[in-house]
Amino acid sequence: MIQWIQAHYVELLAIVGSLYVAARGIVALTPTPKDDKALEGVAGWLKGVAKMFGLDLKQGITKAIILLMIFSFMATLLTGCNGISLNAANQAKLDNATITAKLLMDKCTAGTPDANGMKQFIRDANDVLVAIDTGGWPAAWVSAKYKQQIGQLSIQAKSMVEYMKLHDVSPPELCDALNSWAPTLQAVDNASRGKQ
Amino acid sequence: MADTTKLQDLVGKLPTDLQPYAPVLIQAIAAGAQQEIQAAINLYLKGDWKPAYELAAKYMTWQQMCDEIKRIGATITAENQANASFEAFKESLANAIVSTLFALGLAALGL
Repeated sequence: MIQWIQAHYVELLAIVGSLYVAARGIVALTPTPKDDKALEGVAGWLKGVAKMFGLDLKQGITKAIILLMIFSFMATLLTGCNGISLNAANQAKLDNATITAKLLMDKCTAGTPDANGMKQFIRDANDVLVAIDTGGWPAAWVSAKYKQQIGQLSIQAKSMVEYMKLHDVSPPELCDALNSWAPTLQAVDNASRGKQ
Repeated sequence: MADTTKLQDLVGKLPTDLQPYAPVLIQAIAAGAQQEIQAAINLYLKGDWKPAYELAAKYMTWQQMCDEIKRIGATITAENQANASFEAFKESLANAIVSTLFALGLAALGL
């Protein structure tokens, strides 16, 4: 939560500021001394927060309103463009791995598993996740948990590759592995695109 | 009997997040990796989860690896659903605020 607030404080400030401006406007239309007093308290607090983030609201309420309106538009833009995208190369690798997983799953379902294809897929999944884990993952990702989960997936993929070197893994076991990888890669892909 | 008690003691002392990997770590102890485990747990307690997880992954069976990948996928899905709904909420809130401001601006200009 704290990390999220640190990453999005500008948007939060904009929302708080905008609410203040909106409340100010409404009170101006329906004035009562009680409302004005309450809003002055909010204004003091807002100025304090703005100062903390290096914004100067002392230019007067008109400039402050313009500033806050600009922040509001920025907030809208930010929320509209807040997809948690991977870099293009890693996104392409992830797409390919997800497509390959689906094709291989079809073969498993049809009872004609492609053992070599599945082994190659696990190696590819390893490459993709290592690439993402070692630098392709956006720093602005909302939750640090995602980063740890990708790290764990990367370790699991490496572990499977090592296991395949030492053991003779049968096609049914490879189909089980694919059954766990396909939805997981899809989940990573959805997350990277900000889709549910 | 003494060995079983020792193992139970070790499992009991594992950090909560590592408890699900206790069976795997017991396999690792049986393979003589007790010192590695101790070192990995010490690092884990200092905030570095990777060595302990790498060690656990190294001793997992194929089936355990598959189950672990499924578990991580389910966690990512749940995390992403919560995040995506919060993003949608933020977007609608920002839109509502901008619309209100726009209406106020128009009212102030007498339009």
